[in-house]
Amino acid sequence: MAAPSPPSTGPPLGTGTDVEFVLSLELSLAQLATLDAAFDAKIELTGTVTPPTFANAQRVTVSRQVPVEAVV
Amino acid sequence: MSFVTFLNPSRAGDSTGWTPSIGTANWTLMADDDDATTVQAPALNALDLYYLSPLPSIAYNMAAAPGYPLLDFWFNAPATSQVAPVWKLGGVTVVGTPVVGNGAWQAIADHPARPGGGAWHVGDFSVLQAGFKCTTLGGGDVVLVRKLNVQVNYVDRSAFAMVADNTGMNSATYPPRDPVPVQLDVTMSAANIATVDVYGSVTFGPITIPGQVYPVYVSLSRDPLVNLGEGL
Repeated sequence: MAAPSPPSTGPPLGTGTDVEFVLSLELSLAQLATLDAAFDAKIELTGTVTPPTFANAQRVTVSRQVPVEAVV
Repeated sequence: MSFVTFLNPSRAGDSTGWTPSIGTANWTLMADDDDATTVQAPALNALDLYYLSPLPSIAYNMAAAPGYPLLDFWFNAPATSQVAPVWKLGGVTVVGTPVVGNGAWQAIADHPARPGGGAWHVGDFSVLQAGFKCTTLGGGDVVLVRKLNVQVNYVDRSAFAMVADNTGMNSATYPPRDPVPVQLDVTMSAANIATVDVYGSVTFGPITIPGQVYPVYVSLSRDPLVNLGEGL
């Protein structure tokens, strides 16, 4: 089974207020099975998304349940 | 049974360096042999990459067939210009052998090595990008590409013989299926990015993944403030 992959990111698109950011995540079969198997399943991906897009390093998590924060 | 299928460009990849002949997305011009719907290299090292249409769901493993996957594209360039096939997978880009133009349309079929090494598996094609690069551009040359596709040779489960066991039932032993990674793309606006940086987290979802029972949520949070799932 493939090892979980770290999050990868594409380059920012456009400039100024039109900046967009594409976050590409790759999940293995094992990770997908984990997400379907348990009510509170969540997977914290290895690595972080780092500046310059963000001022602070970001962790990426995939979960089965809606988080406590508001959904965009 | 083994099958050869053709995967066509389905959306733009990481690079769109060629110029479309009409005002539309480059990948939409790569589906047919129409000489009037092409992309043109505006400069040396111009690179176009495309994601591909998905493999059929019956694809179980790659067939043991040397020469596949095969990247096909059709280009037209003078003899003073060259174009090379390109793969990109897992952040690694491989440029194949450049082909010299001959002043007419010519079909190129090449199979660059799998980026990152190792054997191809069926899951690669959901995240693979295929394209072409202008590696030599003569002064004033017009270098065009009109079509691209990728040929993949795969097997379904019927490739594994059914045999009678000692209970009188027919059964087959299947090898492990290739891992099939799934790619999720989350596009963030400048406002989303600002939210993450100021408030510490942002969440997208629900995202439905084909074959999964439950949708998922993707969350970015400021390291080390991973607070997803608390209180659930």
